[in-house]
Amino acid sequence: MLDFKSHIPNGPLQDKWSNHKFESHLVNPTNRRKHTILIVGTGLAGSSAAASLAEAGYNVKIFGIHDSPRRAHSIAAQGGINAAKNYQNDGDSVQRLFYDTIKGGDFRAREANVYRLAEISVKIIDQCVAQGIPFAREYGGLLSNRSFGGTQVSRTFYARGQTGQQLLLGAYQALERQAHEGRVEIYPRREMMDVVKINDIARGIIVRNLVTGELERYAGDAVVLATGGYGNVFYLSTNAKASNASAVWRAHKRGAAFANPCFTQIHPTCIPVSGDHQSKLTLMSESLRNAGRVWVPLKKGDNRPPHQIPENERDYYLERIYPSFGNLAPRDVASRAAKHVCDEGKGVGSSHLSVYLDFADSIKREGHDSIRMKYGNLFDMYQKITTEDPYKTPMRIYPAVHYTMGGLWVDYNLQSTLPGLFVLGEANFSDHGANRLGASALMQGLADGYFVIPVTLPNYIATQSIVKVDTQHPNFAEAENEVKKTTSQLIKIKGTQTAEMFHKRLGKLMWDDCGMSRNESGLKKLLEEIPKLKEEFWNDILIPGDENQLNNELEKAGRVADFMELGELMARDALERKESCGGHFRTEYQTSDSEALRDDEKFCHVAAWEYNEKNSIRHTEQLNFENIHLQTRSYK
Amino acid sequence: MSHQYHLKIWRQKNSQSEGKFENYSIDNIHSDMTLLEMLDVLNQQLAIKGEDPVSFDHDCREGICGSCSLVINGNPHGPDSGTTSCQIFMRKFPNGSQLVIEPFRAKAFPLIKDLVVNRSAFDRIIASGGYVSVDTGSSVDANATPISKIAAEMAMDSAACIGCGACVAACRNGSAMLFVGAKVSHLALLPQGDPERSRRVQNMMTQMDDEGFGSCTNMGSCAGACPKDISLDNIARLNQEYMRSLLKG
Amino acid sequence: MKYMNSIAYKWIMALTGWAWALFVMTHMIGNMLIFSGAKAYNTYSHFLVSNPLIYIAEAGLVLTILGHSFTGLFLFFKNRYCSKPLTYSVKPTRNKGASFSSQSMAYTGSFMLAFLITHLITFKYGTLYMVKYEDKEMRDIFRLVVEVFHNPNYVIWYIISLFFVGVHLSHGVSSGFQSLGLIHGKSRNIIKIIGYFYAIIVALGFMAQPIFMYFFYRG
Repeated sequence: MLDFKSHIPNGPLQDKWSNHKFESHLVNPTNRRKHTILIVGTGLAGSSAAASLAEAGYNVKIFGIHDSPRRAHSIAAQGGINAAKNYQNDGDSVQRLFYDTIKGGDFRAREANVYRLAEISVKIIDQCVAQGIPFAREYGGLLSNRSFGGTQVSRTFYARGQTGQQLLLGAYQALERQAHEGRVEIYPRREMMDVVKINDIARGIIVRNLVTGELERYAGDAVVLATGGYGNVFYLSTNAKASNASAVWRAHKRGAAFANPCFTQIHPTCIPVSGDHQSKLTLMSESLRNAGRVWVPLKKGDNRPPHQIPENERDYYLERIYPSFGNLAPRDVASRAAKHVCDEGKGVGSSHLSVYLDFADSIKREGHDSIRMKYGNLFDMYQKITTEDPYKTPMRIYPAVHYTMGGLWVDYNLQSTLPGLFVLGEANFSDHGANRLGASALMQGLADGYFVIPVTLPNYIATQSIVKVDTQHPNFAEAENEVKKTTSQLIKIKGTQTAEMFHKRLGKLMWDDCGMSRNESGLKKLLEEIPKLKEEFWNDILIPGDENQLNNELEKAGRVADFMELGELMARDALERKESCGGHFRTEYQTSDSEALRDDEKFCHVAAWEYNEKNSIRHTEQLNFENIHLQTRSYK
Repeated sequence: MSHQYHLKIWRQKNSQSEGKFENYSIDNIHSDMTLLEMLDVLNQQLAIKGEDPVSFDHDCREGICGSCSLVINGNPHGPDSGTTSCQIFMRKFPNGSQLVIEPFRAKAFPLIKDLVVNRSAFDRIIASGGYVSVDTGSSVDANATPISKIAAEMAMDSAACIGCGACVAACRNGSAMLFVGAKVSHLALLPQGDPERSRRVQNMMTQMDDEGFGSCTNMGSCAGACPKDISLDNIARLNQEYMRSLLKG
Repeated sequence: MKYMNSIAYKWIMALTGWAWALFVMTHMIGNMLIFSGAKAYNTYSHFLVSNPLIYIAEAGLVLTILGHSFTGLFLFFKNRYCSKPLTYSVKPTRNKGASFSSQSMAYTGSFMLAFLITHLITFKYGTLYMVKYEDKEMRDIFRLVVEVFHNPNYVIWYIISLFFVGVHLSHGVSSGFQSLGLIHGKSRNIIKIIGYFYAIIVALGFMAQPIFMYFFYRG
């Protein structure tokens, strides 16, 4: 039986984290180096956790699939990172960031976790500035802010359109510093294949050396997963090509519950799909919605070029429907609105699956140079991809899969239902509810890595009597053999279709029936289709070469196999959640003006799935809102 | 618009074996495809024929992770300036043309397979000093030290380096001065990086030489190949920082 | 720490290179006296060689040229054969490649060294004609120059050599600013242009002398 105690500390919301820090047990500095911590994933959460734990004196080993920790996909985050600094004196506070995040998440996140996140946000900026991150500044030398969707204050700190890159490099440099001091060992080009349990506690991992193909065993006192989200289930997404769910999925199979898998975020401003050949989608930062106005022609099927459509024949639909937030409506709302107008036949471009994001007014108001200063690199990127010049003609954008709010279930300490296994960043489910606000992912990744895990992990180590184990333990051999078996099984099939082909088909199925909007019949159909695809996969997958070398096709096949199983769970979760909330929109549950209709009576809970080969079991964790009044989310 | 291309790609099984060029013909390539998507198509075809697909590093495909590392017709990251390999579109190449694709070459970047090289030397250079020594939690308020907008912008120009190694690949000497210069500049331009300036530049230079990178002879092909337009000023500043470190200690 | 790192080598190259760049410029300007006739030329030459400081200057020139050549050749072999043993099968297109002058420094430099040696043999250690002006006996170097510059083969050799001197300087002078960290932002282009002008002035100034002698001087 899995343990779903959330371990939220007692006391008033504002004091929970400080009380918890005080009550957490410590490990004597001289004893710390005797404890080995295995961290999987080198993005913001993983690198910051590894650096911070190593600074504290623990012996850390960190594993990543890339050739360098700096390549993790956190690097691609563009817009910024939120913090409740209130440097702009516009009424911001920890309380307001907390409120915005809970509301943005459509009341499906834990109050205590979100409050802690808002509280820590302030310290993250201090830490990052101290590391030398070149955030944008005003002429007076103080930090500059911009606005993001779902908020009415300016609290987003940014480094041009490369905030994720700069924050990741900060964490990466801190990590490399510890590696130089010998407190961290970095293992690049390693993929986690399995978690090793000893006495039902996570005590190690099996990784595949992607260069030699060898399986390697590592033992430790705790395992930390910071492996990011599973947006690539959809094949086409803004995620990097190597982003995958295999680490969390295999941990899930070993006993870590998976929470809210159906909560996926569709980002409203991406460059539209141009053809079947496309391998990934490119995001245009949400910050563009500060300056750009979203519109479509009023008339259906209006094929005139944008500049020939007069003002009174344009529908600035976000400004029309959501007058108070306008173009800065939250992501889920903006995405759905775009889909809605396109479904009505007002979409633009050759596929009619895009809407305009128009900068003409801002360029007129602020001048060409000011816009270039703020968004130049994004405009250049757009032009490079589409060959259209956004200074002259409006951008065309369409929503695309971007982030997954769901993930492994964790308690307040970020520990999963598998004791000894901690989950950080996008890989866990905890802070964003059913929809994440812009510039909050970087905040959460760093909060978990820099400030939460360095408190909660030592408490775990100090309160458990952890017996020493090494990789000679039979459970390691057993796990390794299982991995070997699966791998050779995959290679032996020698079928006719590649992993890429299966992945594309899975993605299409998922996007059609478990994407921006979902309904019962579609989800039921999906639950019939995926098992068929799975069966076909296990009979017809083609992997050239063998497992004893660098073999990209083998890597992909393993990941696609996991994506299929996860996709099935997502569909089931979406089917069971008979309400609409945030990124999860069930067409059966909407208001008369097509807004999401929540059902707080029945679904004000986290759905956490326990793995079962035949039929996974749905558990629930009730969400209690004591500080915020549950209400219908309105951005009008 | 679908095009046809002749590909000449470097194939090498592993670091020990001998490498050589293989020729491939590929057609039905849409002009809106990226170069990497074209390689994806080739790899699918090879896989179905039971041949070993071409290994190449790639990940984000939006020009920021720094994974992709191809030399296309002699140019690291292809013919356009300010572009990574993953952001080259096939419309760039005329129908029927030949594309010669090779890995980044330098002694400090040993080859792993086909077009994949090992760039961990860069990580070790960063580890030798490319950071501010500040432990988590020990920092003061973010606005306690004002930094001029100009300094912050200049630091950002340098910090934009994606660590892809195209500078080394382009340099006839296999020097990593632009990479080192970018990091040294980024941190030297900010007050946070000031206390460790001397140590940083000395240690990073020593590490660079020890890794087997060549010396800079001011040819400037590094900056020409840089997908993020990191300027040669960073090398000038690196030279100056080293002088400063000797004078000031 | 190691003091002799890649940057230290750059400084050696820059400072020794600059010393010689200054020397060739003054050498060229001094030699312009050839247009004023034998007496001015010979007197200037005598003033230089009879000055006791000449030994210090010559020692300095020998040291810097040795430092420059050996460091340059060391770097060349270290870079080309140790750091980058393999190059690409296709030449990069222009916008990504470095300039011809910057890539050929080792070759133009070696050529110049060879030229320098022949140059010294031809002139410094060439035939010793003497001449007397107002009771003062001195070497008639002018006569030797006239002789040599009426040999068409030598004139061609000299002009080609000076062309390479120009190519070498066109990169070397501005490169020195970069090596010493004296370039920032917009000054880069200005310094580059100064470098080109410097090279052109030195090369054309020297070339003008044999051309004048060969075609116009019939003394």
